[in-house]
Amino acid sequence: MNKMVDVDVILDERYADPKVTIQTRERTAQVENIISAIENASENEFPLLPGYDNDKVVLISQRDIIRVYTENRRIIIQTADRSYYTNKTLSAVEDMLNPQRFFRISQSELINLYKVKSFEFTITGTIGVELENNAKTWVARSRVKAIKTMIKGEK
Amino acid sequence: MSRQNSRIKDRLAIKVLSGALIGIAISLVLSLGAYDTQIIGNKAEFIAQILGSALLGVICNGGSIVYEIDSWGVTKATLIHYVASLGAFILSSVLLHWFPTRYLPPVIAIFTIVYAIIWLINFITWRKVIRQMNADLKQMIRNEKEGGERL
Repeated sequence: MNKMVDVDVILDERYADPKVTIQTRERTAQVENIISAIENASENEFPLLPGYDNDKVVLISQRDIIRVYTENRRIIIQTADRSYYTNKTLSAVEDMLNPQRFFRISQSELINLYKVKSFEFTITGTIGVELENNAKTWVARSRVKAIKTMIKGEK
Repeated sequence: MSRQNSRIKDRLAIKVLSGALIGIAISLVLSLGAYDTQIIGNKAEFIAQILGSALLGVICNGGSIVYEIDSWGVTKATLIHYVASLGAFILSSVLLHWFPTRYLPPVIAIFTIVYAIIWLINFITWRKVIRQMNADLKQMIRNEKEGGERL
């Protein structure tokens, strides 16, 4: 039943980013493969990150990453429900991540700006940030200007 | 880590140097006026004034580097700078006879008020910046939700 898939490309000014619609009679395995292939293609620009979960390597999708930080000598990659570790350096991880989403907030941490719940300026004069998984951390004042520019640019 | 630290060290060096120069300059200018009064009677006292002022400049200006330490926060930085500058100022003014000691309490009071105002202005400014950032962030996230889920 598997034959070559028919691909139609329709140019439309309204779509700044390509939108893919699959027309099919039913959602077969082939259709699932096509969906995976398309999702992979868009993720190729920003690769999946390998992380260890108890010695088992898992490939983490960037959209799931909330923050990446240093703990003891390891880099921890935190998603909504679990934490993974990696032996790469923070800078190495930073280079792999989408710079439009991930931002270095201090010497030892990066966060996914789209996973930020809110920033706050505390009475002690430090800048706190609360993330979607309720994790709280702080932002270096020297990084605020760059974050501001990025957020304004993305608005 | 070391790249940032070396930048802070460079800035500290500049602050220390300029602090010393400013202190010396002020001391020289004021010494012109003190020439006729009793403060400077001989060479030794003149040198003491210059060195004392230079040191005060180093501590006050060099000390302001604490504001660049991100992990300390504005409040702690202001407090430490205040204590260091006030301490150095009291020592200098007493040892170098800048004014009668009975003037110390009001001088200290004014010094403190000035620092409190500096802290307040800093605090209000940063709070405004953060509030704006939160508003922009909400907008940014709302835009993405409307634009459709992407990486």
